[in-house]
Amino acid sequence: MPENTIDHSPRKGEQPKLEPGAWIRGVGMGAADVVPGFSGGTVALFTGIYERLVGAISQFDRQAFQHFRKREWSKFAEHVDLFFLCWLVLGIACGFVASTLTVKSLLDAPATRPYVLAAFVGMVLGASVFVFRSLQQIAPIGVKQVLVIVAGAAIAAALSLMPANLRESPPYWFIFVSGAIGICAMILPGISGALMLMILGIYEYLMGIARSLIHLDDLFHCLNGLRGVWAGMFDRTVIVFKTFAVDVCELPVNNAFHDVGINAGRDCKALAVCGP
Amino acid sequence: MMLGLMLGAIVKLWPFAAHEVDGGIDAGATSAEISVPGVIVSGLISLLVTLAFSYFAPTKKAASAT
Repeated sequence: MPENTIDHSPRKGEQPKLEPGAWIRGVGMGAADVVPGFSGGTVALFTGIYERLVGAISQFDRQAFQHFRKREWSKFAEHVDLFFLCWLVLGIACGFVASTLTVKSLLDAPATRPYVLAAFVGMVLGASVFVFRSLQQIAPIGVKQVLVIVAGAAIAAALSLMPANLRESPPYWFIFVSGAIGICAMILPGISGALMLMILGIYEYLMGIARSLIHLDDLFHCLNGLRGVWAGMFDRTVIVFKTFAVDVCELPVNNAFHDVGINAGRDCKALAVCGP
Repeated sequence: MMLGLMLGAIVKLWPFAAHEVDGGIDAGATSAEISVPGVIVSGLISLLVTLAFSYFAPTKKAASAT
């Protein structure tokens, strides 16, 4: 198979090295991702690593898969800027854990909750300025834009006033969709994933699960809450992998493996819906 | 749309709303016990900090241009 002579690696020619700067920026991103109004993408943009981050993620392409398949680990690491990503992800995890424990505790305490919410309102208003600036750069603000803004505000207000039972015990499909929206929002500058989860009404529910997982409290209940997410993801992953392997890479995939994967995914989905 | 969603979310974040606990209203966080100046100061501080970030942070288009 001919090698692609064009190398898009952002760190070509450099030896892998420790990147504490990426770790520190990751801590900021992880902490910001938990707070409604702040976006990890905004922190990445502000600290000057946004382009490199998006570039590294976009390097997970066919060439990276070929390096991985041939077990060319050094080329794979260089191609996807792996050391930078690892340090960044480690920092995000540290920041996320620290921020989760703090914010959840402050929101749970009646004495501090109003002040934390007030701080969130201030952050959302401040972040709105950032979004407004970006909007002005794309197009002048006209009647059409104002109408869309009003429609967005109406949708958010309507979602905020959803029945409490949906917020306290959301169905698995709702958690799955909310997680997908939140993850997409986290990487975009100016759009807060936590705020999207807050609008959808499951921010505190998911924060409770994250905090319990960190504390290893009631682990079975936490895994039970996440079951719908991973069951659906596993099912989709098997189908996507099969399509990718057969159609893109032209690999001979054993039908027995495919059947096992599909059956496992179906069993997981049944378990998620019906319970153990 | 995103700007509208952010502004509409303030309904959800309103600090003077009663806190729901176990399906009921938490009596410990009624509006009478909330310090209004404290809430305003808290909101203003976070607003100013975020505005400072927004002011100095380059937008995505500006960052792409560089």
